[in-house]
Amino acid sequence: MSAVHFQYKADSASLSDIREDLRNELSLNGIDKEQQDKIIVAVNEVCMNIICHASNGHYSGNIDINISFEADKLLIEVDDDAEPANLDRLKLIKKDKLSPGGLGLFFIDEIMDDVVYSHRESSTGNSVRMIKVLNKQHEI
Amino acid sequence: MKYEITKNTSHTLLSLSGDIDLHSSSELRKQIISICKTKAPLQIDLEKVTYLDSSGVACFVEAYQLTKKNDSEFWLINISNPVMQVIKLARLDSVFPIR
Repeated sequence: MSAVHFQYKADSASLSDIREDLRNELSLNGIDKEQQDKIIVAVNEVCMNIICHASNGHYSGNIDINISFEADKLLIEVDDDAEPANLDRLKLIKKDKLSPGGLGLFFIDEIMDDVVYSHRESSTGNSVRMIKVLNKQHEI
Repeated sequence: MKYEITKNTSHTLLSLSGDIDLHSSSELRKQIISICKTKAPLQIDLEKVTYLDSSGVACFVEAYQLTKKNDSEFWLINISNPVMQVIKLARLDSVFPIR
């Protein structure tokens, strides 16, 4: 299993770096461009939601992204140190694509095979754990 | 993201390039609202757009709604592959006028 960790400021200016680093990591692990594009959209939306909505839109801490590969699965965990999110409200937003953040949550669910939103157990903050089953181009 | 506005006799052309994301979509929204205030038909060229996120999609939805409200027109042209992927993901490829 390979794993990598990236940390960014929770700022919209970080999004292009997040996408670039993620693309490089996925390329290094033999993920084809079509899958890369989709995974990047999902992770970008998770980070956007943190920037826009964490701690009622006032979060200025870090975003931590952990990427690991297990057999044919890609695991991506995106963590923040913000106030605990209202997970019940997330379920309501997911039902309405046109509510703020709703389209992003719809994208994440459409792209990823499994998505779990939770409060971090070991510390403050929130965690989004996503799994994508991969069709690898080649093994590296 | 970069943009270029060309006012033609029949419509206004908004040509976009680069990444449209949370960092740039507020500027895009500002330009779209400004063009829609003129009630001119709005054509958006997406040939050189390399990335689109949900905040960018929301801008196009707003353009669609504003032009409809003004009895004007809105359409997208030259949609790049990464943009079309996201528009299809949002199930808006059958909603937005695409020429």
